[in-house]
Amino acid sequence: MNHIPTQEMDGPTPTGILDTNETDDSPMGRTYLAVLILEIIVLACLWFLSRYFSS
Amino acid sequence: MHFIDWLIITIYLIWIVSDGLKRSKGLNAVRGYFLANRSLPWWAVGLTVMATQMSAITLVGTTGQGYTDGMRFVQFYFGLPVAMIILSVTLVPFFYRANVYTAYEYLERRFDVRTRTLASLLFLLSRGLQAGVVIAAPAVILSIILNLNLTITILAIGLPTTIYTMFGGVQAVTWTDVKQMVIIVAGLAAAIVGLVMGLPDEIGVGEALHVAGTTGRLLTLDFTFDLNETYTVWSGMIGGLFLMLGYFGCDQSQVQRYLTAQSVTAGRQSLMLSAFAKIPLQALILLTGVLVFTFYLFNAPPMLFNTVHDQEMRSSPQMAEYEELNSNFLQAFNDRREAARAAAAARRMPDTNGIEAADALFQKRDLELSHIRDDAKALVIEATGDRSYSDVNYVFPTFVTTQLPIGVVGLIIAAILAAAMSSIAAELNSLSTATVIDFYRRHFRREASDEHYMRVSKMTTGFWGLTASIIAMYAVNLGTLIEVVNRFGSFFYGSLLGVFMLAILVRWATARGAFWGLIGGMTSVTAVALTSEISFLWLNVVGAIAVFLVGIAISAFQPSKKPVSN
Repeated sequence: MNHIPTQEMDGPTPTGILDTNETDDSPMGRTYLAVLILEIIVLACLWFLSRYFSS
Repeated sequence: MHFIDWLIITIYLIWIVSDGLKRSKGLNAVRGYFLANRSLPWWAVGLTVMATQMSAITLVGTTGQGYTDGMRFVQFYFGLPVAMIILSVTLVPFFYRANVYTAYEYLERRFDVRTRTLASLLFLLSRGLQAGVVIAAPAVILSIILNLNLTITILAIGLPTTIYTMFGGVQAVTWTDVKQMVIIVAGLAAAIVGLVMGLPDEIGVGEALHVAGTTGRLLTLDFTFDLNETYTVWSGMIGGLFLMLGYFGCDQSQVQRYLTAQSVTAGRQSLMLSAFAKIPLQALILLTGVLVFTFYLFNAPPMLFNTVHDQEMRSSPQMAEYEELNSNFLQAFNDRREAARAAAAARRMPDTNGIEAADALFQKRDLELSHIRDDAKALVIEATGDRSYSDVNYVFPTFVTTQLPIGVVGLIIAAILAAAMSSIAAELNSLSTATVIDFYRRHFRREASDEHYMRVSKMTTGFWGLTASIIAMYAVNLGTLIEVVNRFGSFFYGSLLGVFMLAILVRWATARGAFWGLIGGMTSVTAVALTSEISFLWLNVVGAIAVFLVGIAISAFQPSKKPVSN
């Protein structure tokens, strides 16, 4: 059973917000960049199709 | 519908239920039931994330929007890829390492039990009602299209989904979702092939799309900045970003999907699948709707796609007026068909003046036909008193059942059912998780065996399945279905997102600030929605910012502002 620590309402500020120590996972920077590039390409394609078929 | 189509649908239902039930073997702990012991590969999680988001409403409503309104709805999703990146960097590793079952558990660790309970309650209320709508929407349509009893249709969707989700837990949800996504894509591909083959021999797809383009249906990007306009580049990029952050980051029905991934990286990759594929897939669904429009340029469409209203009108006091409109509609269709042929033929000629003249005539004919359809709809509203009447959601199912060959009809109806069931299963699973983890185990029975919690979890899943089916039976007057569901979510997602933003971004934010911020955000969204014409997508921005500002303001006056250590 995973018991969850509880706190008093409005009591002391609890511990642990965002753990940014990313040591156990692979870097995803290139994937994120690829997503953004793909989105730009998709938007450009939609704009082009929109212009081409609506002309 | 032909016997073979019914057979395909029956085989689909048996296959999915038996596959889901297979996953119940060896399932004896809550962690396996709700989180699959964090063992699932990224691609399966990615497909279940997509399947959960794509309900039957998306499939049927979006194609209908493509038919009537064109491609501009795609702008709604423009914020999604960026939202996925933000969530991958922030919340995914965060939730994963916090070892939580629900997103709201974290709010207790960060703030207090009151904020967690309120957030979870908001989720249960909104998602519980939406689960009913998600069953009702396709049930209403399929019952009319297939001439079935509405209650039986609701049960045919709700019951099998509840059974396999109840016994198989998240493993059943995920692996059936994977199969259902394959069926959805196959059904969509079959529909597109049918649409292309249904065009006259002398008309190419490009020519047909050019003709459709003259009506503005291929326009996808609208750069107008107007808060009252729902689908613009800005509402999609900003409002849509907040909606997607709220939906994928704070809605347990999605958070639970990536909590089942075998690692943080797998969780992130699963979201990247949506980031890559969602906009192209959504554009394809809308394009299918536009292709239905091109198909009906050369093949006579019904004046009203909802056959029940059509039959009602033929036996109503307005019968003579309706019949006259129908006769005018057929004449107008013939005129528009000739104009469409002429517009397509003009593109094979070198004379550009000829194209402009042919396009102008086609636009005129299309407008005439639209006016007759509008008159017919006004007549239905007058006769039925149903002010929200719309037959947009009947366009695609009507095309499928009346125009496609035997076998393909069964496949596409199975795809619509798959879209509905995949979303409902994930919703039931997450509703059960939030109920058991955030309420039952937290407030009522803190110490019990895993066996006991398993039993309660299954019963809770069954309870939510039953509740959603009952809500579905009462859900009427749904309007344009996809907007109803998204509009509904926008009342909650922005505020939930705001409280998570406060938790992560403001180290000195206090529990009181978070709780009253959440209340303030909900109040602000309600006030703005009731007093303005602002598009529902912007309500997400309003909610998030209101929670954030109220939370900061109240926290600033708290005596303790000790920063939180990592």
